Amino acid sequence: MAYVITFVLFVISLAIEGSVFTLAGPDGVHPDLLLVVVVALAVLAGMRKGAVIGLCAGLLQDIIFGAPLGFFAAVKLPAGALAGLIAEDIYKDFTLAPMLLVALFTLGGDLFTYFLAKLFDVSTVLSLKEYLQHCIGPRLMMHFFLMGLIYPFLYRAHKRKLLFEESYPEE
Amino acid sequence: MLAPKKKKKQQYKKIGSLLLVLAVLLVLAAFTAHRQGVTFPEEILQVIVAPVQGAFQRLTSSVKEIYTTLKDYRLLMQENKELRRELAEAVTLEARLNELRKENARLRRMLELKEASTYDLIAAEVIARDPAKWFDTVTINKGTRHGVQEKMAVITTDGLIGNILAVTPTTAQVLLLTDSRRGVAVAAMVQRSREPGEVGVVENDPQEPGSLRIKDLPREANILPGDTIISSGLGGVFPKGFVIGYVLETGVDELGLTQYATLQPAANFNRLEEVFVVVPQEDAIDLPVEEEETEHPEDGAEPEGDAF
Repeated sequence: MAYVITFVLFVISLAIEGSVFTLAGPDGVHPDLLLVVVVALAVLAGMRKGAVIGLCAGLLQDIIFGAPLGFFAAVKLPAGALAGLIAEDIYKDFTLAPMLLVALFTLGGDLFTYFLAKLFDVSTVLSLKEYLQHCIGPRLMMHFFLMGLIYPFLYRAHKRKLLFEESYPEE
Repeated sequence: MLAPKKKKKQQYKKIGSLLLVLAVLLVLAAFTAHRQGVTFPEEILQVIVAPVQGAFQRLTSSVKEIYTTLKDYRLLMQENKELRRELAEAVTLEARLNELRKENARLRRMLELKEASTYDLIAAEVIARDPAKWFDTVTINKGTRHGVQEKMAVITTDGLIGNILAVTPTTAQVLLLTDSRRGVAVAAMVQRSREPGEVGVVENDPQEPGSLRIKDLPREANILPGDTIISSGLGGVFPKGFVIGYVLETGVDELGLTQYATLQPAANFNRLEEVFVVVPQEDAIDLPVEEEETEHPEDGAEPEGDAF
């Protein structure tokens, strides 16, 4: 069931990201809903499952949007894994924690994406400073508030055992 | 409970695995950066996701359409408001322009009349008119300070309209020809025939208030519909030669001794705006005016005199 729900969440996130969210945001800067979902699920599922969730979400994004296979996966995998790693030390019912985490991973993820874009020679007209000011800044805020909206629902679903269970370190 | 050393080792292992997968992904991305087409599993995924994307895209299009419509509506409303304001301004401006054009034409005609006239003319503006219509008087903005005196004739560019009834230093009242109280009759004659004996008196038409008629014409007077009636100069109040009106129809009085004629006034008494007060001159000469084209070939008489 968790697989299906996660897959549906990914698909809906990508569909919303590619349609409704193109209307939102200033100067063509749109939120990455999939990243928010990945971080939220990773917080609830732990590092190992978070890494898998990030990898699958990234690969799906690569496939759906025709990016080089592994491009977005390389960004979402560490986001999921690190979110799961950090989440081992935070209270899951405290919504502000994932909100702050997603802001942090937005910064890291977008910087990494910028680096990858340069690496793969993807044309970008913005300098790093402009990218930070005009893209990362607004997206950071958007993701922060989106997490505030989404996380409580996912937390409730997690409590009802609809999502992946948290994997604790072996005792 | 795990020993801290073992836990740390596990974390290093996890991070190592993570970096390894990351490296694999980057290599994969490098290899697939310029690929053409998709693999079978990708195709299946795209087929699965496409309907969901389509549904959201349709939703987005609807939202976008509504937003665009609302945006356009607001713009249209704003544009409409602006255009209405501009239209109102243009209408006001056009009305003002028309008014100025008409005023200009009137003033031109007045100037021409003043230049052509051998009389001294005092230009004045009508500033008031009896609104009750009981009395046909108007007030002009010139008085004794400007040389206006009682009984002076008042004309417009179209013809004679009346005489000064009362005067103050800055204003004067003009008694119009159509006023029934008129004590001073206007001696008039037919411009076409100009026979000295054919002089009648123009007064308000009692049958039709506001109109004029000429009476006391000799029974044999040569007068026909369409004739121009001008002031004869007799009586001393109204100088000779000013157009009073045009004959509409003629008739014989009850006793059959004299003729009368109803007249169409030359001036429009309902639209008096700028007028002239005529300063009488003893040696005033008649002015040349256009000959009236009349339809009386049997008469054949050339107009001798002149009129304003």
